Amino acid sequence: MSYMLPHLTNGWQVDQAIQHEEDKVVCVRFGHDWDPTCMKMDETLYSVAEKCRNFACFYLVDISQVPDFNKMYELYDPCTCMFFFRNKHIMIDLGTGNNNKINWAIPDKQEFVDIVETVYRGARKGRGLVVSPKDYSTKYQY
Amino acid sequence: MGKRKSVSFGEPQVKEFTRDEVEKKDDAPAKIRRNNRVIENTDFDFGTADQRAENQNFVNEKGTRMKTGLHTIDSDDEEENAQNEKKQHYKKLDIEKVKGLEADTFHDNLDEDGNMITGFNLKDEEEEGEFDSTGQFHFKKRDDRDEWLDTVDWKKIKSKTPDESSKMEEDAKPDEDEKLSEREILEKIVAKMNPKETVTKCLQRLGSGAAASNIPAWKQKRLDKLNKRKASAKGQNSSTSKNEVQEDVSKEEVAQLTNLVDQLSRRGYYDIYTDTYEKIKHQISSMPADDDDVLDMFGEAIDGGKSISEQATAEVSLSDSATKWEYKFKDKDDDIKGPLSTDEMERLKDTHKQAADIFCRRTNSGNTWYSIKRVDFDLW
Repeated sequence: MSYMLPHLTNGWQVDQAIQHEEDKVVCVRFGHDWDPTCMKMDETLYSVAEKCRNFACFYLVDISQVPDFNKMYELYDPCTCMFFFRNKHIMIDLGTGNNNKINWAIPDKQEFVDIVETVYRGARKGRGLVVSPKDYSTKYQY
Repeated sequence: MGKRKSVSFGEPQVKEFTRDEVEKKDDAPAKIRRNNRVIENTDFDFGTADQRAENQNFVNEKGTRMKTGLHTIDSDDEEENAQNEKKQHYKKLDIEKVKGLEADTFHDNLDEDGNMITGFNLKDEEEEGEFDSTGQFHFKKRDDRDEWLDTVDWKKIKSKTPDESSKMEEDAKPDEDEKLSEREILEKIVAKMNPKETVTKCLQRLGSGAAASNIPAWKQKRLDKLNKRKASAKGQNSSTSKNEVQEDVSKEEVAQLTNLVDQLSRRGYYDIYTDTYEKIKHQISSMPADDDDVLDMFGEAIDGGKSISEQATAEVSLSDSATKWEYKFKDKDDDIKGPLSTDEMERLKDTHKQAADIFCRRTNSGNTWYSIKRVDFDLW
């Protein structure tokens, strides 16, 4: 469903999107449209985008087309989701050890909405780090 | 690299010992060689056999071998240690006997190139203490004298402390008497503002006092000077006093307004400075009426100690728009309890011992249940 969500095609557009959104959380998915992990994530993002319209906006960025942020945000995974609010990067304690991003696909829509809502509420209160309601420390099931 | 020269030590020299020589060698004590000078036993002084026995067979009051007093873990009480410390008797090391020391050949400890060099001797160490014949270093006892401390009159200070401490407590407590609700504060702020004004502009207007007009500051100064000259020429003071009164009034207004705004920002409402008159009015109208506060769960003083359940039901019936939570013990339970308000959930989280087992979700928010520990009720 990545053709339904807005794409940002260069670094300037990404900067503008992040800086000029004053009231909403900006969620940017860095990856590729053809990657299976990204496809699952995009599916979740699209179905959630309408529900969260009032407090979040979602953008997709192709990291081959826009390589400017690869080193800055350490975008080495196939799919990376990061959250920004008023030009500030919001960290989420997911229990995985990496608080800066979500680097896997979350298939459950309700979970993702809850994460975005927690980020929104925490960021509005001035928090730089919010605690995700679900613990993903056992994400890797062997 | 050049060719390595081969060095020959000649043939190994084997000395054959006779049986007598070997046996003799066992009896004599081994001698240590240092710098090719044999060190004799008499160079060391470990004390007499009695002194050594005293150290080795030491038993303290409790019957253990742990030493008390200075240089132990328990030696934190300085006064006690000063009393217990005996004067240590040791034989002082004769510096002359120590070989290898050099005199200070450099003035100011600087060599020809201007680098700092310390002479190869023990002069600096000698200033701080002395060596005994075993080589152990003993620090000199310093008089910890502080000139300022000598001038302090301890009796005067003791009489002051009870009053001063109470003063400090008073300052520490912020104006708790003035605990107004957010709505009341906003109403008071709005009362001072003009339409289409932000809080910052309002403060500027009030702060500038009488000079709210559009005259630039430098021009205003000149006008003031002119007025003053005129007034003094005529022998009047009335015009200046009017200005002063106005200034005092606005100073008070500014103080009040800053106090109100400060109270709001302390409650977490940081955007207040850029909010306009219209926005604050809108917020007041969207906030619940003040009557709610009387029935608040924590308003026990007003209610006269209602039971928690009564208060809870009262609150539930009033605020239907607040977020409601459902909870259950253990994920697989079907017994869903609730709905509870956010405050009650917070209390549940604090009081319940096995908080990890409780799962909660907001009412009507799908099927995912979250551990109560990870949910931050502060945000709702």
